[in-house]
Amino acid sequence: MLRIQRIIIIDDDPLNNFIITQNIRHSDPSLEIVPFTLAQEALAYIAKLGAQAEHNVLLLDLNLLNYSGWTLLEELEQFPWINKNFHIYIISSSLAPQDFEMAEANKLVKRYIAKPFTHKEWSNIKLDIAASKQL
Amino acid sequence: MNKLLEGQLAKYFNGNLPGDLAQLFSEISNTYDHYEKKHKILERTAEISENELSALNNRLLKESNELTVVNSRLKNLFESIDSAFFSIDFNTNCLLQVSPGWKKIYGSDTSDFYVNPNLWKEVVVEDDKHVLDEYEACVLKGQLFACEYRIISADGKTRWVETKLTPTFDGKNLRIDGFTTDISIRKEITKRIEESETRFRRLIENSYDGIALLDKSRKLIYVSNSVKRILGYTSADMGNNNLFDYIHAEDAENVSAILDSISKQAGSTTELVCRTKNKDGEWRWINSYVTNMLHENGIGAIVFNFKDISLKVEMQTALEFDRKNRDALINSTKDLMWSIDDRMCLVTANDAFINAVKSSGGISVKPGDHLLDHNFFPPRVVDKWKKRYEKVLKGKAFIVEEYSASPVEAWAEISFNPMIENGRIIGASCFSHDITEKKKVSEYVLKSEQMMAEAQRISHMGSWECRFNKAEKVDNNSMQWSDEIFRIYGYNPGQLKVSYKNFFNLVHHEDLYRVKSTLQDAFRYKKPCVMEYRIIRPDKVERWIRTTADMICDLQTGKLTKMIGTAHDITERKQLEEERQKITNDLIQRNKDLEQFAYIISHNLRAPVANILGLSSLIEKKNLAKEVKEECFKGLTKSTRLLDQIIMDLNHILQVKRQISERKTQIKFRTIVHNITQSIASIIEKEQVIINTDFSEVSEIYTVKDYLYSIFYNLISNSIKYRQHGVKPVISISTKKSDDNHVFITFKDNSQGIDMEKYGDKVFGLYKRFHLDVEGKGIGLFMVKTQVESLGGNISIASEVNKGTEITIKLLKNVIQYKEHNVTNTTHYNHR
Repeated sequence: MLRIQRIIIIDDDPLNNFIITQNIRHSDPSLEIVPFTLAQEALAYIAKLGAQAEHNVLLLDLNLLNYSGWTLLEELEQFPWINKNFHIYIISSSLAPQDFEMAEANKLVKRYIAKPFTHKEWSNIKLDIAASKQL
Repeated sequence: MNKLLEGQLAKYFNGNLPGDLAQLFSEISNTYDHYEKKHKILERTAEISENELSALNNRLLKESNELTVVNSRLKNLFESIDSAFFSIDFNTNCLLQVSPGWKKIYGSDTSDFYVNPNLWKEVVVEDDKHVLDEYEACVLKGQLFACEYRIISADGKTRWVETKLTPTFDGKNLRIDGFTTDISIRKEITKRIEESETRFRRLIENSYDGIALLDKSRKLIYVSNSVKRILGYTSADMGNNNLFDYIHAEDAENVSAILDSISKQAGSTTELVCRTKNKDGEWRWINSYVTNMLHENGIGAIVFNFKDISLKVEMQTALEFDRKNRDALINSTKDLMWSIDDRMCLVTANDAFINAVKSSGGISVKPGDHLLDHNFFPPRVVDKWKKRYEKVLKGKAFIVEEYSASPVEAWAEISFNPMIENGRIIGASCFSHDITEKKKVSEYVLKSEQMMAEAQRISHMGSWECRFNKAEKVDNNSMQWSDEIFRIYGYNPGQLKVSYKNFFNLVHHEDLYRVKSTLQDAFRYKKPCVMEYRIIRPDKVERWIRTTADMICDLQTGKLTKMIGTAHDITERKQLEEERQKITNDLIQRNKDLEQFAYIISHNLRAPVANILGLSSLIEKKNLAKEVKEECFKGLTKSTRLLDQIIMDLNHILQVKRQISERKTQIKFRTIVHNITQSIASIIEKEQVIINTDFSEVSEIYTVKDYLYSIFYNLISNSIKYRQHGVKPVISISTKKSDDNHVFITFKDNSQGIDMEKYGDKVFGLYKRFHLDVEGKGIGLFMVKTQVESLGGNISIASEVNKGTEITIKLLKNVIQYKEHNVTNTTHYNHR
């Protein structure tokens, strides 16, 4: 049984949100997908979800308008439950090695995924979560 | 009778009769003996025979005749003898007989004596009469009486006579036989001998030289009074001592040999010098003339006639020592010493001179040789020396320096000095001193000084030194500068009064404290130090100087004695250093930019590519809804366009970075602002933008026009774009002069502002956008920064949310002036 309640996407590029959404829908049409282009809005949404909302997947772009994905991660750390309730993946077009390294170093981040996001990436995420002892 | 006569005569002649007289007496005696013998024989044989008697008678007659002859010969002798012989009957005082010799002595006839038997006593001179006082008492005792006295003879002459009176008593009468001999000659001789001896004594007693007499056994039998003065001994001190008690052991053998030698030959004399001990025990040098007078009557000794020559010996020794010393001195030097007489002939020379002449001319000169009158030297050399000798012989003292290239390079300093005696030049003394080493050293020093000066001039490095006093304080006036330091400080050598205090007056006031404290530390720790500071030269040009200072301490006390150091104009190096620092900073910035550029490419450029790839893979999927597919195609188009736009932006940016060498022109700020307001007039009017400008301080700039326009355009449009809602945009643009040929251009507005705390480091980044409600690519400020930096300037920002933003750009104002500065420098160096 796939233990995923909802998928939150944060990317200032709507086209990217579209591509991710379509790739997930294609294999799992029933999953709840919540896309954001503004970090502030996404942050407010996550805060609102609270400690009770489990099994969330967060797909986060690093290059946000007026905001950096790293800054957002710092903001998320304020929620004590974030690590328990969220599987966070970085989705970025950047191939810069320092971005990979920073993702690896971050405790909240599961993995760094370079764009384009394909169905294969989605399958890997599902396998990750299935294998995970978390949740 | 003959016996009596013989006895009297023998007494007269002191027991030894002269030869002829003895023979005579012997004959007489024999004849008498023979007669008596014959007579006794005759008496015994009288009765023997008549014949025999007759024969005997004849013989007797013959013998009687012989006796008569003898008697006659004896009478002749008695009468012919020069002495007076007389006999007196003592009792009757009657003259019995007198020999004819009376007249020869007493001058009167014998008859006078017969008449007056006292005559022999009466003629005695009054002064001598006393000698006869004892005569009578003596003869009455039967003793012989002899005396010597003077008589006045009948002819009035005084003569010395000796009279011997012999008493003969025959039982009845006392007969006195007198025998008087003229002894005037003997007396005269004795007197003369006595006088001579007295004179001799007196002579040797008063002699200045010491005199000593030595007997055969070498005992001192006499020493003169003067010995006391010479050796301190009195005659009592030395008397009968052995000569060798006083002779130095080392000289004894020689003295002994000399004495042996002269003893062999009477009258020989030799000179002798030996050391003799004086009374104080000191050894004195004594010179003696030793004469063998052993054979001389009244002397009978070896005579030493001596004097003390110790002083002379000492002086001679000293002189000899001096001479040897002088010889050693003049011959131990390599310097040549010689003297010439007024004919240029050699008088004296040391070995060095002789050898030098020999090695150069091949001749051995000796005193008396003419130094130039030969063909051993080339005429040129002879000429040269002749002139020198002539000059000195005219009385001129001088020094010449002589150089010879072969066999080895050598220099000599030759001094010539005239020798003047009684106002006349009698010659000249010459002294040649080898100064090759000195010359080489001084040439080397001169050369190295020149090289040093040249090196300093070429390297623009000067040297200096300064002394410390005993309290380790710098002696203000002891500072010395090399010529190059003057030039470094912009002065002609010696133009400035150099002192420690003056040095500080030259240092730029901003660097003064640093320089002073560096020096103080160096003094305190006695360690070398390096100072880099600025000076303002008299021509108002600022230069950078690097000065080193080494502290020199006294080895014993450890106290600072002086400091020495160098000064070097490092302006060019400093400029290069600054330039290099700037280039380094630029490169670091450029590198950061490039990194950022790469990052931007990986993010911004890849973003649309990733989208295209993502959309493409979506399209490939089967059973895709039609509207999704359409959305995909729209996305593809959008992404492709975005990709193109980004590439165009990048191209634009890259072009800016390449346009550094764009031609620069003189641009008025007013014109730029005017052009921009014209191009965006509609927006300005619509938003009621107010632009205030103040270009009074700096009105124009020499720069790339397109860049300046772009900078102004972006900043003005940003101010309008990010205006606060409901507030009229107010933009103030002003210029300000900097003290280093730059201009500050300030853009101040009342826009929304940026949270500098949050985004401070990102405001000038590419594709950075901070305002979500306003359309923008986030390229404006990135472009402004790129262009400002391309012009060699920099940009800074101050902003506050809802208050406004102030952007300040610093640009180089006037490049022409910078070039002029360089020209000045070049001119300066050409002067050196």
